[in-house]
Amino acid sequence: MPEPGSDRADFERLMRESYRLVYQIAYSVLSNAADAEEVTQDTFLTAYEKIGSLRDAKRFRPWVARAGWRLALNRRRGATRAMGRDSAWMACRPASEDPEAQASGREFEARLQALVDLLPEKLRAVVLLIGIEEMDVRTVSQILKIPEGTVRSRLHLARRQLLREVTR
Amino acid sequence: MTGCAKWTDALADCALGHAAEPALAAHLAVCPGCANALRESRATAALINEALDRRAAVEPPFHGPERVMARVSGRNRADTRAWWKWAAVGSLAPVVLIAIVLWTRRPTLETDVTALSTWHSPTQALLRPPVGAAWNMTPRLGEGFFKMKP
Repeated sequence: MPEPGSDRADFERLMRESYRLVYQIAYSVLSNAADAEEVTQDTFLTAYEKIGSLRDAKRFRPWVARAGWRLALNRRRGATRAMGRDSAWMACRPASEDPEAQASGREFEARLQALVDLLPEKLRAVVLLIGIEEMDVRTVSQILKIPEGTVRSRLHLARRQLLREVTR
Repeated sequence: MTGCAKWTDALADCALGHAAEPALAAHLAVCPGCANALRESRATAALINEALDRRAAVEPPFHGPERVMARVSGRNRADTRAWWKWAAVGSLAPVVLIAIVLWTRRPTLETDVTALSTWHSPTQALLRPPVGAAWNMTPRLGEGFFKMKP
């Protein structure tokens, strides 16, 4: 455990840099803002306790991203209330759209959400993670511990399946 | 999507950014249905990508990092309290152990009573008369008094 003082300040800096990423990863798995927040908090508390085992501070970000991913998956598998998905992300639509377009957009997004939930776990993981702003194929492969080529092929399969279902 | 069933997968791949194979390109040139399906698929794929990006761009609560640090501080305080608690338990343990040992080895009341009942004053022997033993005996018939053994 870090000593109070400089180690704690270092941890705080690293945590602030990665907080958004971990939250978005948790949200991608749980689709629920409250659950994502709880998992993010737990992830960083665990990271604080175990930061002594991390030799290189540069590894903090992928390390904590993977930890957040695993905690979120455990929460998703274990908690029944996590099935109460929220629609916070649907409220992020551009304000310039007219109400009719917004309504049809929300309908489309709700349908897409349902289709994403129906994807096999392996495909869903890739398609949700790659949507996160700071994620690229390499980072996703590190988090999921699969080769980059597998990430690409799963991403393509997932998108094709979604496209097929949406246009059906 | 109203393209030819034979080209469904190839059209989807093409809509998702893969280059059209020569055979598909040749088919698209002569099949308006598939060309239209490809345009629609590209538009839908773009909508899907936008929606997924927007979904992933959900912002965390503003005070999230502060809450983490508050919980870290709380845990540190709890750890400190736990340290003092264990130190106090550690220092009291020998005292309690010694008290238990002394308690189990204390002289019992029964032992004291027994000792008192069997105790004789040293002067008691001096006070006893020399013929004291004869006083406690009954002479038998025909037996000399002073020949008796005590």
